Order: sequence, then C-alpha cells, then structure tokens
Amino acid sequence: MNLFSKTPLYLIICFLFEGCLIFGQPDAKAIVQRAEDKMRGNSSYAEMTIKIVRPTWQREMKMKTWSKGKKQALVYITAPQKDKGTVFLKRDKEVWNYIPSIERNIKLPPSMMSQSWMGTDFTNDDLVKEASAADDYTHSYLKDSLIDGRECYKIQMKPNPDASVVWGKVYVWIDKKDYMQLRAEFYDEENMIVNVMIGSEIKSLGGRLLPSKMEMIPVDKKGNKTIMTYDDLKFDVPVNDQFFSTQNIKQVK
Amino acid sequence: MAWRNIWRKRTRSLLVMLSVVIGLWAGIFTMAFVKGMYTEHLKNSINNYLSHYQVHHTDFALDKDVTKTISVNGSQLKTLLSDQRIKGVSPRTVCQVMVASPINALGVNAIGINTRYENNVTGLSARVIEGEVLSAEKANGILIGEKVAKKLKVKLKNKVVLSFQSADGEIISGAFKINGIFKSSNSSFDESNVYVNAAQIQKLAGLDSNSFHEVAILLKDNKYLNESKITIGQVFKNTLIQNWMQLAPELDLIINSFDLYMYIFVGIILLALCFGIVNTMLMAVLERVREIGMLMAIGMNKRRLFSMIILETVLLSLAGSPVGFVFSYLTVYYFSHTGIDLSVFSEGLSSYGFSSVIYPSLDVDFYLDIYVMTFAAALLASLYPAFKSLRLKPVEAIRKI
Amino acid sequence: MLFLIAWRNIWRNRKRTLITSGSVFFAIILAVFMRSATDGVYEGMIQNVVSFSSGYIQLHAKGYWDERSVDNSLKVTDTLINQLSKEEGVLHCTRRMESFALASAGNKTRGIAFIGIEPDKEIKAGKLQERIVSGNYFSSGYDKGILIGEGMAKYFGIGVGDSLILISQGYHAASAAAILPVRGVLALGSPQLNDNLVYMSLLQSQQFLSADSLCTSVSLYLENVNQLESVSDRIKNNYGSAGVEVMTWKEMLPEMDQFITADKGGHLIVIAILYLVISFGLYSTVLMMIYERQHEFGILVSIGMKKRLLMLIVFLETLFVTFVGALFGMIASFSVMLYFHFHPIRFTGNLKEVYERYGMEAIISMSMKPSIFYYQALIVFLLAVLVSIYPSLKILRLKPIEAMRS
Repeated sequence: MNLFSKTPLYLIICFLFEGCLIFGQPDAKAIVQRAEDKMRGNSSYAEMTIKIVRPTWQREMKMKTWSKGKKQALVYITAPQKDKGTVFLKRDKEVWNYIPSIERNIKLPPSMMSQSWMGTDFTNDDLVKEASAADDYTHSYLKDSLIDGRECYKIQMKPNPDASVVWGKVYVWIDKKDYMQLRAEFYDEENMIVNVMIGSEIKSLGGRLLPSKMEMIPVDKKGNKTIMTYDDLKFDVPVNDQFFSTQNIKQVK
Repeated sequence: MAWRNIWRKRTRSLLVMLSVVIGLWAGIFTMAFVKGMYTEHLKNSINNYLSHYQVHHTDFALDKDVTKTISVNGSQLKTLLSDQRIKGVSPRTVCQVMVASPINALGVNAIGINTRYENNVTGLSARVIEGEVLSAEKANGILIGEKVAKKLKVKLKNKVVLSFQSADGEIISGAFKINGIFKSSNSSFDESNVYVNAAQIQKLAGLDSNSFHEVAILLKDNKYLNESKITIGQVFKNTLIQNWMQLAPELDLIINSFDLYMYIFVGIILLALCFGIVNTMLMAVLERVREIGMLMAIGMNKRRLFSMIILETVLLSLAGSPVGFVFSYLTVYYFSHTGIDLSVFSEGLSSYGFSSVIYPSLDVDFYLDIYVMTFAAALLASLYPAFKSLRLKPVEAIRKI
Repeated sequence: MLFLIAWRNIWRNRKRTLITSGSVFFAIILAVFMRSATDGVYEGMIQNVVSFSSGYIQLHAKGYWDERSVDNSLKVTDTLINQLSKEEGVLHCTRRMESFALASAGNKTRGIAFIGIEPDKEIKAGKLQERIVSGNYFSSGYDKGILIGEGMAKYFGIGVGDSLILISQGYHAASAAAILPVRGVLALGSPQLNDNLVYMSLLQSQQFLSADSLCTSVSLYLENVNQLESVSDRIKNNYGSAGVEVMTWKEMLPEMDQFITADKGGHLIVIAILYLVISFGLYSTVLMMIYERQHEFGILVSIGMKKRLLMLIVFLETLFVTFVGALFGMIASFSVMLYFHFHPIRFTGNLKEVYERYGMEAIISMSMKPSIFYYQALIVFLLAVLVSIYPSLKILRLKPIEAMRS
C-alpha cells in the first residue's frame, strides 16, 4: 500500500505496460529473464559440437541433449566413436553417468563436482547448478554498447548474498532487438576478470534467432577455450518425465 | 680417605668433575629440549584438534556419511560439563565438502561448530589471525586456512560456495562468507579443514539440530584419560568413543620412540664420560703404585683397597653431578619460560605439526633416571681401575720408583 | 730421526700408550654409533616416504609438478629407460602413471588416487609385494588387476576376486572407464594411502587413460643415497630439456627436507656435546701422560735436550698414539656397526606394534654410510691432536730441577 500511495499513478501504469522500462531506463531484470527464456523454452532438444582447445591439442565431441524445465536434462554423446553411448543425466540435483563400455550407471558424488566435465572448461557442477540468471542476481542496467555491430544492453548482475554463486559480479551484453546474450564477463570479488563467454554466428535455431556458437575462455589460462556449436536446436518438443530417468539412461539413442 | 685422595691431584680431579658437569648439563638440556619439542607437539595436537576423546557414530569412520550422526542434547552436554575432570565438550558436524571460488575448487573437510563450545575444546578463536570467529549472527560465516585462501585466491569477506551431500543423498550447495582466516601450527590440518557454523550445515543438509557427527571432549589433564571414558560412555550410549592415541596412532609412535632414543643418547654420553673417568682413575692407580704397595704392606687388605678405589672413583664422578643437575635444572627452567626460537625452520616443522618456539621441559622422573644411570656408570667406571689395583704386587710396587 | 724416537718412546710404556689410544678408540666407536643411529633414522624415513612416492630423483614433463594432470605426461621409451638405468649411480628406474579417478562398487562411489606401476621394477624399489595381506601381487606387467588398500577394501566392502569400477579423465580429455578385478589387498602404512590408493600395472593404466607409451613420471633409485646431488646434476644436464624437468626428492618434498634439516640441527648439538665429553676425556689422559713423565722430561732437559725438540717429540708421540687409536677405532666401529646392521636393535612391546602398523620394521636401523666412519675418526683424531697441544706446550715451561724431584 505504501508503495502505491507514494508512487504517481502514471509510473505504475508505465511499469505494468512497458515491462522493460522504468523511468525511461530499461528494466535489467526483465531483459535478462527474457534472454534466458529465449534460450530455454519449456523443453528443448539440441545437437551440438563441443570443441576443447588447449595450447598443444584439440578435441571435438558431438552430442544430443534434451532438457525439460530447469531440473531435467540428458546428454547423449555420439562422437568420438569410443565414447558413443555415454550418457549424462541430470535429475534435480543429481548427476548420473552411464558408461556403455562397462555397462554401468554411476551417480557422481559431491567430491567429483569440481572436476572438469568431459575435459572441458566446464565443471560437473556447472551442469547441476540451477543458478538462474534472473532469480539469483540483482541486475542493473549500465549502458548501451555495440557487439559485432549489434546494439546491446550492458547489464551488471550482482549475485544475491545467499545464492550459491561464486562470482563477484557478471556483466552481460544482451541484444536489444532479439534478446540474445552475446557476451558475458565473469569477475571475482576483487573485480578481476576470470572467464569470458562470447556468442557469435547468429542464425535461426528452432525458429528463434540465437547465437549458434558460444566460446568459453578462461582468462588466466592462455590458449585454453571451449567452443560449443549448435548444429540443431528445437524448442518445446514433447518429452515426458519418464525420459529423464535412470531406467531410460541405457536406452537413449 | 677416598675423598682426600681425590683432592691430592686437584687439576685432574677438577677436570673430571668438570667433564661430568658439562656432560650431564648438555645431555639433560638436549633431552629437555627435544622432550619440550615433542610435548609441545603432543599438547598442540590434543589441544588444537584432536582433543582427549572423540565420540562418533560406530560406522562414521567407514564412509563419513552425513546420516551417520549421534544425537546430542543439552542435558547430555550439561552432564559432561559439570564433571570436574572435563574442561570442554564440543559437538560438531563433519562433512566432506567441495569449496569453490571463482578461480578454483577444493575438496576439504567442513567442521560445523558452535564457537562457544568449540573454544573450550580447541581454543579456535586464538588461531584466527585475520577477521573474526564464527557467530550465530553471521550464520553463513566460514573460517578457512591461509593456504586454502591462497589456493582459492580469496580474501576476507569474499564468498565461497560449499557443495556437499545432504541427508537424503542430494547434492546441495550454499554460499558462505569468509569470516576469518585461521592458522594453527599444523599446516596440513589447515590445508584440509574449514570451520562453519554447525547450525548452518544442519539446516542445509537437512539434519535436525540435535544431530552431530562428532563430539570432541577435552579433559583438564591427560591423567584422567582412562577413568573419564566410563563417564562419557554413560552419556553417549552405543557410540564409538576413542582417545587421542587411537585417533592418532602416529603421535603415539613419535612419543614412544622419543623416550627410547633419549635414553640411548644419555647412555652414550655417560659411556663417553666413563672412559674419561676410567682413564683418569687408571692413571691415578698406576701413579700411586708405590703408595698402594705401602698401604698393602702395612696390612690393608685387598677388599678394603678395592672398595677404596671404587669409592674414590664413584665420589669423583658423583662430586660433579649435583652441580651438573642444578646447572641443567636452572638452564631448563630458564628456557622453559623464555623458549628457544627455531623459526628459521618453521615451515618444515609446522608441516609436521611442531611449533617453532620450543620450551624445554623435563619431568622429575627423568632427572632421577639419569641420576641412577650416572651412578651406575660411575660404578662401572670404577671396576676396572679397582681390579687393576688388586693385581699390583705390593713388593714390586714399593720397589718401583 | 725424530719420528723414530717418538715411535720408540711409544712402545716403551705400553700401558700408557694403550690407555691413551684406547680412549681415542672408544671415543670413535661412540661417535660413530651415535651418528650412525641418527642418520639411520633419516635414511629409513626418507626411504619409507620416497620409495612409495616420488623416487629419489624424478623426471617428469615440465608443468606436471604444478598441474598433476595426465595431459602433462611424458613419452618415455624403453631405450631411454635402459639408458637411464645404465647411468652411473642409478640402481634402477621405473615409470609411473599417477592420476585420480572415481571409484565405484555396489552403490558406493568415491574419488580415489591411482598409480600405474611397472610390477617387476616396483618390487625392487618399494617392496610393495611385502605389504600384501590377502591375494597376490601382479603376476606380470600385463596384469589387468588392481591392488587396493585395506581401508578402501573395507569402505567398498570388496575383497580379492571382486571388481572395482574406475572412471577418470584420459589423456587429452579421452574418456576412461574400466571394471578392474582386485588381485590383492595391501596394508599401507599411512591411513590416507590405505583408504585412497589403487595400484595397477603401467600398461593397464596407459590403456585405461588412452595414453599409450606415456607416463607421468620416471622415478630413479640410487645405489648410494648420498650421491643424490652429483647424480641429479648429471641427469639434469643429460636429460633435462625444455619439456623435461628433473627434480630430487628434496625439491619435491621440501617440507620433509626442512624437517630433517631442523632435526639434524638438533642432532648436531647432541653430537657436539659428545665431542665435548670425549675431548675432556682425551685432555685429561694426555695431561696425565705428560705429568707422569715430568721426572723423565726433567732429566732429559737437564742433560741438554732442547725443550722445543722435546715438545716436538712428545707432540709426535701423541700424534702416533691417537692415530693408532683412530685407525683401530675406525675398524672396530665398522665391525660394531656391521654387527648392528645385521643384528639391529629391536623394539619390543607397544612401540613394536605401532611401528608395524605403519609398515615399518621395528628396529633402530644403522646407517652404513662410509663417510660416517672416516669423518668421525677424523674428527676425534683432530680433537685429540687439538687437546694435546696445551699439555705439550707445558714442556716449554718445564723447570728441570723441580720436575726431577717430582
């Protein structure tokens, strides 16, 4: 009540209708939320290639992924041949790993969560983390900025005190027109940059305009990066919950 | 007579006495030094992290599972704390966690405590070198070791995320704010343990507020070790109660081998002293061939001669020992207060849990043992010269110039 | 001429000579015993730690020491191993592959460390086979099985004949997963190793990690531990390169080295005390010897012998006597140590139990470093010479008449 009594009516109306603009400034949280929703959908299916780049070698993996909501995801490795059939299943906060060569399904223990996932610059923990760009942070719009000739909002995201997020702050650049995240910079609490994520090669995927290539670059490890490329992406495909079960893990193809 | 004989050759006798004094002093001081080092180490280990007793669920050691808890209520704590022999009781949660910063992630042991209880057992507050101790107001505070901070590249007030398994088997994570940095004299302990509020862990892991994994109990003195076990057993039924020797068998090993080595060392020093004494007395006997011959000629029997030489040797050796003992006692006493600084080697020492300032100390028992050993050595040293004197032939002896 | 006189003088009074050289003799035995026992403890300690972990000298890829990952492993051919084994001072050398894995059996899963070893060579280096409490050691270099610590066996509830699943990250992010049969269960000294360590054959580990002919380290064992610096310098020169780093255990385990240095400092004080006590014994002996002969010296000086010459002869005499004592002391101490080396002092009771729980033999092991013998003999000899200077100088102040009267 208090809020309404002190806020001029036109501002409330403006807030309700525009959604993204308060006082003529963009609503940072709504922008991030919108970008996040665009990436996710209710459910999704994707075929992607992950390339690990190291100073002296490179490695490429191909996989299919299914996801439903925030809590369920399944990754099926299709290449290289040696790893074909390997499955990672995320259900709630658990990660299960099925390995066809030994026909075993193993639940990853907490101690393994800090390990690199399949040798990439992501950790197992990154798979499980439900940190939501919209819910776990406090957002503030900084300025407009150009990325690859596209007009972007530069938004600062400060993690909420209780959120299980290690970053001190994150800057994201979100395309003004199509709400695509084109760049993100991750900082520690001493304001030192740790990771950079770059989105590029924008194309229509699953009927939405999205960057098809994402590069993850750890700043202090020279010559290291992980490149993810979407070969195919579909949204709102029908998948039932039964799909994301340890019983199904051996049957996925 | 034996006593007067000793003072006939003043320089020589003084020299022997001086060597006894120095040998004893140096030997005792070294023993006290090393003993001080190990006592300190033991004390540190018990007072800083081991405690005299730890109580666990009977299967906790097997897999350290979150659900292997024991129930600890206020009245149990009260019962224990009202016991005259018990100094402190600290219920703890112990979880294997992954602690992550933006830069790195490490697997460590998270000890959930209540500062009030913990301080009475391990005096944790005193080891916080930066920041402050945990408090209930800052529920998500965490204390980490210096090296952990360095590996994670984090500072005071920074945030870290702890992930671990909850009671129902899920992986959960929570944000913790670095409340303080601690440093103990055992760097390997500091590297693998962090402290958090027990209540916070219980909340995150889905344990009720009476569930703990470990109860550490510090006694007022190690001498109560055996008798207090019964008391603890009555309070915590169907649990595994272990004393520090069972918890850290390697400490037992160190302490036990120390005593053995020390006795060997003192034995060697005394043996070396013996040779000095034997030589001197042998000289003395040979030198006094004429006199001894004379004594025998005027009717002193062999047994008396034998005892005279023995007495003379023992007196000679023991004359210096009171001075040696007093002198060493004073030195040990002095250094036991000032301490000896070994900080040059402190990194190596502290990684093995030794502190870098050594306070020499020695039980009275040791002085007694050494006294007995000295006496035995003196006796041993006297035998050869005494036998030698018996074999002298009086007539020849007198004739000899 | 002088030497001859001095030499003859020595044998004139055998008793005196025997007493003096006897004290040098026993002093050396004691000093050697002391040194040998303390050094033996360190050697045992180093051997215990080093042989099970790093080796005395280790070759590994540059960067491996800071980031222990399979990706930082080294290609080592049999030719190189042969070459290294033939290096002077190298007893044997063995390849190892160390990494981490997720181990699983039943519904239990946990992170563990594993080491791929060359079974036949490891027998020589660490006596691993002696730690087996049930089952067998690897039957060959191609053995597909694993050896696990007792603690781990208990945790997973498995034993010989059961299998353990290992999942890890292979070379260059290859996937690694295998079900391996348990061949044997080991009683490894420290609880940490006992709970967390898995041994497999090098070939098995290479296959597991898709790391053909690679290893994370080559450990060298030395014929003589005291040649560490000289051998490592040579190895560094010959084999170290932009990609290969050579490290000694002192560099790899600096904290242990520092601890030993600190502890050795303490023992230095202890042995200094022993020297002090020995010196007093020697001093009084030499002093006595000269006092005893005052009468004789008095006569010699009064019949015209130059004091300086006399002093020189007496000094030479002590030199001879102590030298003889030192020589025999060295030989005798060697035999004493040899005896203790083969019949070591054994602990009993409680201490024995604790030692054995740690997989250590419950003995005071004696170091047989040759340097101990000649150094101690030399030190005691020098001490003897040093303490005899003052008594010899006394001759210069000799008053013949008084001396003759005594």
